[in-house]
This record gives sequence, C-alpha cells and structure tokens, in this order.
Amino acid sequence: MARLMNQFKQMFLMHLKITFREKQAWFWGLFFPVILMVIFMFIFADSDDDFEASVAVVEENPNEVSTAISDQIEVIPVLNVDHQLESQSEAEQLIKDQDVTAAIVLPQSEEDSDVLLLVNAEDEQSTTTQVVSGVLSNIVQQMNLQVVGASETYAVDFQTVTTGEHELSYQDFLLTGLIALAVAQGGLFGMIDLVDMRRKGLIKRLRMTPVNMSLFGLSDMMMRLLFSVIQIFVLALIGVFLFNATLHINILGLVVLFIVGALSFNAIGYFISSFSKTTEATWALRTFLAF
Amino acid sequence: MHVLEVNHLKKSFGAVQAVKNVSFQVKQGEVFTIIGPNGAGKTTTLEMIEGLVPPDQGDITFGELNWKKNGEAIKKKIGVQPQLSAMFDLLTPSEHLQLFASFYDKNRPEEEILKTVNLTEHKDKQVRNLSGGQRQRLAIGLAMIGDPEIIFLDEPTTGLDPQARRNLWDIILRLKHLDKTIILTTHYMDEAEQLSDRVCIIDQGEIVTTDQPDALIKRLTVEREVRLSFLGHEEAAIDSEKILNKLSVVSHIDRDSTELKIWTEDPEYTLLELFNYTKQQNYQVDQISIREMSLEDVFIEFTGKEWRD
Ligand SMILES: Nc1ncnc2c1ncn2[C@@H]1O[C@H](COP(=O)(O)OP(=O)(O)O)[C@@H](O)[C@H]1O
Ligand SMILES: [Mg+2]
Repeated sequence: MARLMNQFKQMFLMHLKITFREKQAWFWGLFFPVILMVIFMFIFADSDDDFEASVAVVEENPNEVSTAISDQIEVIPVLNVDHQLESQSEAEQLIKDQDVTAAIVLPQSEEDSDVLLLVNAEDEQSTTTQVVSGVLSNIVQQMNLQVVGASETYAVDFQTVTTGEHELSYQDFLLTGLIALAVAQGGLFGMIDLVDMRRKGLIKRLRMTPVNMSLFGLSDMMMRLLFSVIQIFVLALIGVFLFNATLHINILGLVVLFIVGALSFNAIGYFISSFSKTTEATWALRTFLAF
Repeated sequence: MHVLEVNHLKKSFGAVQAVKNVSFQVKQGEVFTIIGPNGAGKTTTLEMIEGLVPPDQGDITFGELNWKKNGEAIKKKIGVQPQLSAMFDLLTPSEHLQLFASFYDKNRPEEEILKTVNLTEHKDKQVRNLSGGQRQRLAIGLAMIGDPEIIFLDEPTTGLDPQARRNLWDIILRLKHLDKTIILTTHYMDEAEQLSDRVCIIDQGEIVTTDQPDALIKRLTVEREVRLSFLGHEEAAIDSEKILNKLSVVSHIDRDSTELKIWTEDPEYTLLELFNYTKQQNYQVDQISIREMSLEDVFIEFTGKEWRD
C-alpha cells in the first residue's frame, strides 16, 4: 500500500514536472487563450450591439473535412452563414458586391487541409476580417487536433459555448467560450499524451517493469484536472476583473464535461494498455473505441 | 543452477521467420552473450524472454517461474535495457531513476547507480540534452534500479564511439562483480570475446553454436597463420621458404619479397626450426606475428559466411 502511494506520488511528480517544462502546454493552454481573449475583448469592448459578420461558405467538393468545418462554422454565433456556394467565383462576386464580408473556401479533399479566406481587398485590415480569420484559424486548429485523434473532447466542449443563455454579451460569450476551449486544448496539448508515449515506445518501456499502469493513468488525469483548474482560474480572473465579464459557467457542468470528455477517452486507453499484451492490438482496440 | 532456460523458441512475423529454434540455459552469475549479424533474431529472442513478444512456440522458465503464471514476479526479478530505449525527454536521469525506483519493492541506491553508469555529473540534465552514450548508460542504470537478478542488455554499445564502448564494458564487468546474471546481445565480436563467460552465435534465427569464447576458438581448425619478414635481401626469405616447405606441419607458404605467410599446425615447432636455420645462416628476422584466432573466424568457420558488421 505504501509502495503504491509512493508510486502514485512519483508518477504525479513526473507529470507535474513534464507539464511544467513543456512550453507547448503553457503556450496553448494558458498564454494563447489569454491573448485571444484580450484581443477579442478589446475588439468588442465598445460595441454594445451584437457583432455579426455575414459570410459565404464555399464547398466545391463536399468531403468529410469540409463538412466538419462547415458544421463548426454554423454553430459559431459571430459568423452568419448567408450563402452556401459551390464555386469560388460566385463567392468572389458576392464579395465584390459587398453582399458578404468574407467567404470561406473549404478544403477540396480530406488530405488537403487548407482553408481559404476571401475578403474584399479594401477590408483586408478591418476588424471584421481579423475576427473572422481569428475564429477561422481557431476552427482549423481544432480540426487539426481532431485529425490527430482527439475528437471526443472537442465536440463535447464546443456545445457549452452555444448552449449558454442567448442574452450573453460578447464578453461573456468569449470568456465562457475561451475557458471551454482552453480546457479542451489543455487536455490535448503538451502533457504526456498516451498516443505520443506509445509512439515513442515509452509504454513498452514501462511494461518491462512491474509498474501499475492504472496508477499511471490516474496520475495523468489528476495532472490534467489540475491544469484545467489553473486555466479556468486564470482566464476567469482576467475576464472578470479586466473586462467586467460575467462568468456563465456551471462549475459542476464543467467538471462533468471534463470527466466525461477527456477522461473517458483516456481512461479507456489506459485500461486497455494495462491489459492488452501487444501494442498493435491495443492500438486497434483504442482506435475502434474512439469511434 | 540455471536461472533461465529457453527451449525451442520460435517466432515469425508474417513470412519472416525471425527466430527458428532457439534453446539455451543461463547460469547464475554468468555473462551470456548472444552474438549475430543484424537481423539474426537477437532482439526478438530477448523480447520473447522479457515477456514483450509472445513466442509462437517454445518455453521460457526463470527457475520455477514462467510468464503465464508468474508475470509480476518475473518482472521484479529482471531489469531490461531495450535496444531502443525510450525515455522522458524532459526528465533528468535522477528523476528517471526515482520514478522507476517506485515501481519495485527493493532498489539499489540512486547515487550508487549514477556512479556505476558514470552519470553523477549529469544527473540533473534533461534527457534531451544528453549524448547518445549518456542516454545508453542511463538506460542501463534504469535496468539496474530494481536490483534485479538478471539484466538484459540489447546491443548496449552499438553506435557508441570506442571510448564510450570501453566505458560500457567496464560497467558490464562491474555488474558482473555484483553477481548479476547478464544476458547481452552484440554484433561486435571483440566485445563478446572480452566480456562473456559464454557466447551463443546466432544467424538467421538459428543458433550456430554455444560455448565459452576460448573453447569455440580452440574448436577451430588447428592451422594458424604466422607472418614474418626479413631484413635485407629477398634471399633470406627464399631460402627460408625452401626449408619450411620440408616441414610436414607446414601446409602452405606465401612469399612476397622479404615477407612470408606460413600456415602451420604447430607454430612453435615451425618457428623453432626456422630460427635454427636463420641463426646458422645469419639472416636477420625483422618482424614476426602469429595471427590470433577470433570469434570472427569461428563465425566464418561455422556458417561458411563472411562476418559483416
Ligand atoms: N515486429 C516485427 N515485424 C516484422 N518483422 C520483424 C519484427 N521484428 C523483427 N522482425 C524481423 O525479424 C528478423 C529478426 O529481427 P531482430 O530480432 O530485430 O534481429 P536483431 O536484433 O538480431 O538485429 C529481422 O528480419 C526483422 O526484420
Ligand atoms: Mg536487435
């Protein structure tokens, strides 16, 4: 028992040290959402009325990736999709006529990950353009994560952004959204990632020892939880005190979200890897369970 | 007493028969070396013994223990340095040792291990900043932390510079002095000769032969190659060649100006006869050498193939 406690302590320390030393974790988990929030907050600081950009979405060749992105765009309140087009030239015409502020050209195929943003040249420097491109790069960012294979967390998380009350001010919306986003990202970036550990052969190395893999999983989750708490705390502090935003967060909901989302995905992974004999089998099983 | 016994191991990956029929026993306290060219099946054999790869056929027993019934107990008894050792880039050697120490019931002290593997000075550097040799030594340190009875080292010196290789040999000999049983793989013949109590030569998934290194060498054909060269004129060499050809133990001689290569079953007698003659004739011998037989010759003899490193 004492040995298990010590084992857990050592593992948690290890996760703590690695997270602390991993600059990516701090950047994506804390610095990035804070910067994003500050920028957005300033942009919207004076505008009391709802900000909306009307955009056209161009989907020349519908595929899995483009559909996924266009679904994401539709749930974002800031972007009003007024036109669904099938060719880029139509979109260009709409922009020329100033019917839409921007057009988003979705990837042609699943391998092609480029999303193109068309705007009127005169508007290139405008706030609207920057907001749209900011939002867009965020989506693409998320999509990249999905490709990496962490779909669950994100999909669940984004809902909290949209299921909030409708009367949210943008400050509130941003604060809530960014917290959810940060939590989601924090779960994926920087910290010891099981997929990455397996790729590097660390899981195999651990399996040569009498290590208790469930303890390993548990300590990883504790670390993620701790990191999320820090994220929420920092973001909420800045949002509430600097920008007078109201925190529309159901802490319980967030905890549930965290547990259901990030944990279940990982827990299953740990569970399997502590049982399964060969790595290949584990992989197959994990991939299977992820869908 | 055998601490490890391996019988009729077989493993295929698709059409590739990586290990065909491998059996051996390892005694307590010995350094047992598995040597063979790349792709011979060394790693696969070790990974089956370490419980990482299930064999298609065959048994592995550690004394009374086997993987089916006593997996946990075996893991506590063994320490493994895999061929490609994965480590946490952002942790230091000291932190690695502490983490791995927590996995075992008993440990060797961290300072002792750091000293054994010469990492005391680098114990607080993150692994990503360590050199290849330093990482390799840490990997060996991690194999020792649980104070195992049997240590598996898979090509511990491959890719290291000669100095680092010597250092690792010292480490292995230190482990031997701690009375550990060491199972080592390598594709360096000199290493096997220097370190091992017994070597097992493996080629294309099959054991070619197993024995003490010097016993293997003794088993080679008795003929040895003696080289010598004379000062002054070719004459000395030409005359000596004639004399030597009369000896029944000499099978063949090559002459290149003042240099002779002599193949003889009895180097001592051959040289004695030769020196008697050269002294008489006042010929001056410049250099002389008897080529050492090595495991490389054993490999060539047993497999009929060139040894490729
Ligand atoms: N996981 C694997 N899948 C397919 N082939 C493998 C695998 N592991 C080893 N092999 C093959 O088995 C043979 C023996 O490999 P290995 O045991 O690594 O040799 P060694 O360690 O002596 O260099 C090689 O031909 C290698 O290509
Ligand atoms: Mg190998």
